[in-house]
Amino acid sequence: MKSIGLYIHIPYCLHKCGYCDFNSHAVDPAEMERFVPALLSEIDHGATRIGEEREVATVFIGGGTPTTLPPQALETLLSHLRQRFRLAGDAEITLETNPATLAPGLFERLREAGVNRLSVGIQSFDAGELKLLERVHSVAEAHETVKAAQAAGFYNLSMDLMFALPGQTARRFRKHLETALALRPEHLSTYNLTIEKNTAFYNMHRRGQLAMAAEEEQLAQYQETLGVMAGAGYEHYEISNFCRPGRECRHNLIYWNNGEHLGLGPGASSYLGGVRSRNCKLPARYIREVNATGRAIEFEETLKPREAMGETLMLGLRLLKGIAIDAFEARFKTSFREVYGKTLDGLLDQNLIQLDDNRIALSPKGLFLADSVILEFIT
Amino acid sequence: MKQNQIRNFSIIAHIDHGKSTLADKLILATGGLEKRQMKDQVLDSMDLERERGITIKAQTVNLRYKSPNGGEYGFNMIDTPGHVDFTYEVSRSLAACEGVLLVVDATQGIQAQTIANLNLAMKHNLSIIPVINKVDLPSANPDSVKEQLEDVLQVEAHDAILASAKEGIGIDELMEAIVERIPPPVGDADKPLKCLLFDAWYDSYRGVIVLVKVVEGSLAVGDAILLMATGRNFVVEELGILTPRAKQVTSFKAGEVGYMIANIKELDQTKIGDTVTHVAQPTDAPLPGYKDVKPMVFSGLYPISGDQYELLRDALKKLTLNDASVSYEAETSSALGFGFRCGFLGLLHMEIVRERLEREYNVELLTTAPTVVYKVITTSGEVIHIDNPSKLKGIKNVDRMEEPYVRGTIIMPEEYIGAIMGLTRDRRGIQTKMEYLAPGTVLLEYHLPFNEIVLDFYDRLKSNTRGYASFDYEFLDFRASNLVKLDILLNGELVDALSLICHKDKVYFLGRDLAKKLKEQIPRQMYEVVIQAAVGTKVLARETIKALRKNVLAKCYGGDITRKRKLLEKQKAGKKKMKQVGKVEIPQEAFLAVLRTDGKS
Repeated sequence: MKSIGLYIHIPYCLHKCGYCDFNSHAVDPAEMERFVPALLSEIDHGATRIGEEREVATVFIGGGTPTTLPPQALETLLSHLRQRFRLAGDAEITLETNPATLAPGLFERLREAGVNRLSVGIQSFDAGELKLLERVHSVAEAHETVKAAQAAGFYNLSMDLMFALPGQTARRFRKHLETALALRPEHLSTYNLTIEKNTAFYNMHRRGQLAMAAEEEQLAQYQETLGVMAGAGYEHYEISNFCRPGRECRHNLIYWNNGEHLGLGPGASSYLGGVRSRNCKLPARYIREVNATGRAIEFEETLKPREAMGETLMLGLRLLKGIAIDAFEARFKTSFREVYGKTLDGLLDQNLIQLDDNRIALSPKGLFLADSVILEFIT
Repeated sequence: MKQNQIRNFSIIAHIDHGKSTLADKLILATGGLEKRQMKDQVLDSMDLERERGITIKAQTVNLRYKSPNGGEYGFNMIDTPGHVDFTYEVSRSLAACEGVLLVVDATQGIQAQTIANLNLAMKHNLSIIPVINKVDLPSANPDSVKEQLEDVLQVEAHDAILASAKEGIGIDELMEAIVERIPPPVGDADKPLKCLLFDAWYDSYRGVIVLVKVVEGSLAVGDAILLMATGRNFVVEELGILTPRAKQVTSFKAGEVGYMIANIKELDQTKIGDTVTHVAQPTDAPLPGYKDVKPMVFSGLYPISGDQYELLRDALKKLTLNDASVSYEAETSSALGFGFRCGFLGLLHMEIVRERLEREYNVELLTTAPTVVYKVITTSGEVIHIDNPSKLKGIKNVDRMEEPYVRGTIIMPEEYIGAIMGLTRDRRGIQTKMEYLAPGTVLLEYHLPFNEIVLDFYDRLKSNTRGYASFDYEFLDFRASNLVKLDILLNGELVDALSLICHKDKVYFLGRDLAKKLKEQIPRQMYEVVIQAAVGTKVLARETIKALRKNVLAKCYGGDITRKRKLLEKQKAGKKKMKQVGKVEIPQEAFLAVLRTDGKS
């Protein structure tokens, strides 16, 4: 039986942060009241897209900030999912939250509703940095949130931190890592700040009001992170992700292994039967379209074999253990060497990849240059 | 039509002084086309071509003019390309005329091309009718232009025609002036045929079409003719005039101008300036002034992707059917692979050809920096022409080198004199004249090495004078010069396509500047790239492009994998446009980096 991952997008945030280019919008209680029933309708439609015999191995409720919805609505959402999909007995059910939406009893109710993994958007343990990032929570609230989650029984907890912020040093970031580790999370994601188009940071950067960290500084902080996390016994399993043994994010592994997933909610993406699709992004339009047709897909493409292969490498090389070549060959019914022989020789020559009998992975040097390496596999 | 009813003339002008508008107005005024048709002609030119089976060059036309004096006249208005690159063609077109209309913008006065074109007309002893155009504009100053004409150009200007081609002012007066002031052609119709070939183009329906002026004798359909320069024989199939509609005639007599079709297959067989005569009774004296035009500027054209080589070769072959003045020969660059060394009449001509290759033939081109032709004279007196810097390698026993010089004319507001003197000094110019054309307007004349002009002179001139300077040049001579070859090495490997020849006094600064510019233009790679500028084994400058250390996106855009892939595909497309030289990837612009140097760093 084939299993898939299910992603649910909740597009609301208390405030849109300056660096963020995800599909998130300021909370709008009136609209959110119409959003939840629309999402439930799309879930009904989505269930017919994957067929009954498919099992859902992971659920990831992301955003935005899902906890901007009332707990009641999240409970309804989760029970609706259980009704419409066959959830595996050991399904990983992750929910994203951030410290600004902490409310008494919230985590207990989520636990009760079946959520078994929390991802907390902490980003920084420094008040000044939080302000720069336009986060609307305090350092104290970050600590409280993690403690409240653990008290409610969440033993699979992930935190997000950002590094290479303007003015940040490797030493300062090391402190944030140590603070995070003291809270004993099972999983940690560290994201290098990037400037994306259509963000406030992008415009500030263009006007010269925001200085990006120099490449050497970014590298130093990333290397610092690798050292600290290894010392604390965490496994570095993806470019930006670390975990205690066995605590990888199973949902994200589906993406990195280029597996099938169904995305529901505004702007969510799906990959089913060789077709990639994406919903429209604007919540108001999403609600209108779902109410009219049950769905809100605005983009669809059927991948050519070579595109699918490129994606498999683009995603798989992000994993430290890389890609199993026999699985690749079984999937695409072709010889890996035949397709990429010349590319491989060039990369091996520059010591950017490691290749053994059945795996291709980034080398320690290639890890820092992953985008350039991946580009070689794109046509 | 009798000889004394014929008037053959060209319109000469600086760019934008109103030449085309005036030509259109003359066609309208003589009823060559109606207003509605003129529009149609532009819009439907493709259809018109098919219908008539020949291409029309709208501006070389035969017009009927009925004078108020009762006489009827045939005007042959002969088109000229006007630009300095095509000076020889202009001079051949002018050789078919007895007079010119010298058009000067009443608001701008004399400009560099006005002088260059007028000099050509004077060499041919043509009658000159000054036309001061745009007199309707508020800033027009016809009196000042008259003064300039008389004082600077020694052209009688008291009876200049004051006109506004746009408004139709002065057109009637101009047509009368053409009758009265331009002499009819002279030439004995009974002598052996002597006919000037002054324009030719390739038509895919009819083969080569040539424009001719019969100077002596007469030419008829069915005649067996000889093109004297190429020695080729043909039989005349069709003769006609363009009114601008093509109108067939049976013969041309001395003084007449028109087109000829004679089953000529290749443009190469028709040399501009050639003399056409009869096979049976040839003239004993061909017309003077014929020369084989030689390309002045050379550049290497390479396909970006190797599999477009054949496409480029075919494109060049087709393109030269239409433009015989482009030369090309296969060459191999160790850096760029297989390509062609192409020769052009000048920089504009090079631009036009490059654009046509890319637009009409869909070849993606990489172009090397343009170079002029240098002469190497060996101790044994042998003269070797160098159209590619790398050809200098391996020449032994060099006695001396020579480089081409041009005479450049610059006209501009006087406030920029300082800036331009600085620029021309940097470009090794020797000032030979300085003259006020009017209060505030100055003319400077220089002898300049042509290679200094080829390297971005015109843009510098324009930016130094806020676009107010006009510039023109003509080839002068070759002069002995202390020249060296500047090489660029990337990671120790010589990149032949970046080599250039320059004056010894400038090489140090140029080398340093070029290395810096290359550092700006070559993106960082996964390894360090060392750029060196060297003369022989002596390194003049060194720059280092540091290796890329970190290039990794933290996030993979959630599940939006399509977006990420498309982003990478776009990057990859950009990367594919680069040339790999050794291990180093070089973007196209880097091969033209020398055009952006100022030699002052």
